[in-house]
Amino acid sequence: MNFGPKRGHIMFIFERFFRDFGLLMIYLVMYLLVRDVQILYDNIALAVIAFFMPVKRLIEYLSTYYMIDSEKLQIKSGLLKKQVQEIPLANITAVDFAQPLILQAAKVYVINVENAGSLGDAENGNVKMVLGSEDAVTVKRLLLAKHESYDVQVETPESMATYKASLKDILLMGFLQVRLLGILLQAMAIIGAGAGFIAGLIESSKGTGAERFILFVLDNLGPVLVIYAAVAFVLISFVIGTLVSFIKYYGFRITDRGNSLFVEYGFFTKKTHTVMKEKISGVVYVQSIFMRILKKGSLSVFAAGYGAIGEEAQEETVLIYPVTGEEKMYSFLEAVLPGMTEEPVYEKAPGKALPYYFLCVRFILSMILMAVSLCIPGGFVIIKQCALLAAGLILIATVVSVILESRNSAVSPMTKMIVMRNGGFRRATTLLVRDKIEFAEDIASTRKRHKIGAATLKVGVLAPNQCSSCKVRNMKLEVVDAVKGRLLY
Amino acid sequence: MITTEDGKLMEYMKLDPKATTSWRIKRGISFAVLVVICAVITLFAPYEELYGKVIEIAVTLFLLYKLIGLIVYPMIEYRQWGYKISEDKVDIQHGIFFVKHTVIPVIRIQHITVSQGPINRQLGLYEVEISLASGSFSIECLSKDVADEIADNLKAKLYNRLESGEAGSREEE
Repeated sequence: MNFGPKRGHIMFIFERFFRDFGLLMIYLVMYLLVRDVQILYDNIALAVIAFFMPVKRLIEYLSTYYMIDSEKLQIKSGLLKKQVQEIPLANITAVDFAQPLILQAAKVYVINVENAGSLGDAENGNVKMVLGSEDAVTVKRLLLAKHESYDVQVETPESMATYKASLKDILLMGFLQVRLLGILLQAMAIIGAGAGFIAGLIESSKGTGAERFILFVLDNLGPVLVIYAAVAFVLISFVIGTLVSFIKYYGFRITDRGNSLFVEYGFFTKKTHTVMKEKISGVVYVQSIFMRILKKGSLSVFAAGYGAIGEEAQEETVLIYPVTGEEKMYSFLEAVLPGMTEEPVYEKAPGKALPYYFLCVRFILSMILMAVSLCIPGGFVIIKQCALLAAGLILIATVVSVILESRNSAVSPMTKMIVMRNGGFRRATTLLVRDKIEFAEDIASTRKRHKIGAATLKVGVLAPNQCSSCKVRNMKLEVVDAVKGRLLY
Repeated sequence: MITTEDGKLMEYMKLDPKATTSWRIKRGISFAVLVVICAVITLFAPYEELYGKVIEIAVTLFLLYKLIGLIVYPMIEYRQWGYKISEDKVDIQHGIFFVKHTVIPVIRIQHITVSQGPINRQLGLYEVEISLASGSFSIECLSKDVADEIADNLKAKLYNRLESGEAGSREEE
């Protein structure tokens, strides 16, 4: 059975509606508001720009043909510059569906095809097709014809073992994953700079009355106002984080289909991911500082040949449980990767290694920031106060984060997997499948190696670029050797 | 630990002695580029102002550091560069202040490339690049015979292990 040569669905033109038609919509709305044809003639250049993207998309639709036979996927595209892309079916590693809001009514799917070329670089060699539901299922079946065990269903049968995340879990994940420190520091920097700017502006204008009053308030209560504003900023961030999580992961459901895991979620854009169990290289359990207080975390998997494409190229892991306790991670491993349920026995960094954790970019930068803040001339009172407050907080937060990193750093070399734990405020526990590990590396200065007996351990794994290596700083050399000994030779 | 057939600890193999010359030439070229950039910076720095003098001192110190690096670092780097190739793994060690030890199982090697840049071509040196699915590692500055020997040796080992692996999996079936 073959497919094509055939164009994609007509809805291909509208797939990126806001990006391609946004300017045109603004232009039309402006015309409807003014109702003057002369304005259209006067702004003809704007009209050309507004029509450029929709026309380009239309040409792309008309000139792109997909063809699948028993051996390969072939995409012919281009009007002036003809291009033929061929991907052998044997090299295809994953075929996933996404359904943005605009395509839902027309029952059209965006199909992401990933091949071996996407390993190491999520963008390289991936293909995106827009097809109707019937064509989508046919194409998925044909593309995965070389992978007999691959599941091609779009919808999940009710009979299969399914975990559905509750709305509470999804909202909790968004709330708990907010990076408080980053937001706080950004808020302080923006508000501090803003306060300094306003004060400078009023001072230079030598205003009277209300302006003088603002200046007096900024002079005397500047840092207090900065803290209040920063707290408000953080609260808004919590609300936004929760809202984003709701929109992105609404209706989150994961189904164990025997050979694969099928994940579906999304409010406006519905997405599905199929991850072959045999391709899973590891799992990562991430805990923000709030999650750690509640003994919770988010569990994701990463797999060889899997990597999101387009705007989400950075997201190369697939979320499995939005919010769950650590015990769930092991029960998940028991179900998905049988035989890998050993309880890890962590080897921590030697106590003497603590000073070496301070040899990091963030600590050096925070020290430089403090030094610069101290050097601000005394004339700029508000700016100096705000800068010192911000630099002091950054320094304290960095010191706490470095100490936490030294406490979190741990490795557990086990029979079938290697567990690596790292991070400061945000702790990540990564379980790497031993069979997928490609290399092990240790890095240390001669002094650290001989006096402390420690080195930074880096393990490379068969996975997309973002998660292809995991690093834990200042581990004992015996642990490093134990990890190297566990590699599959 | 990599051991020889009689159980003794295998010594790290050294690079070709011409490696220091190759690194010096490469550093020399980047030093020349840096000198030009620094000359432009100092040309526009206001000497009357205090920060103009600070820039001048900083640029001088930076160039001095690079010049010392040009002379001294290749010697240290050569002393610390080493590689071992055993039946089942490749062990590479290199670095100046921070020494890096990498262990690569032979079965993970995807392909091997022997290459030669313009400087190394003049010196008759070659580079062996070991590519894995998730990245690549190099053994630099080798003579032609050694580079070919390493590449052939690794290819042979890789095929042997793959064949024995396939045979093993057939037996399991």
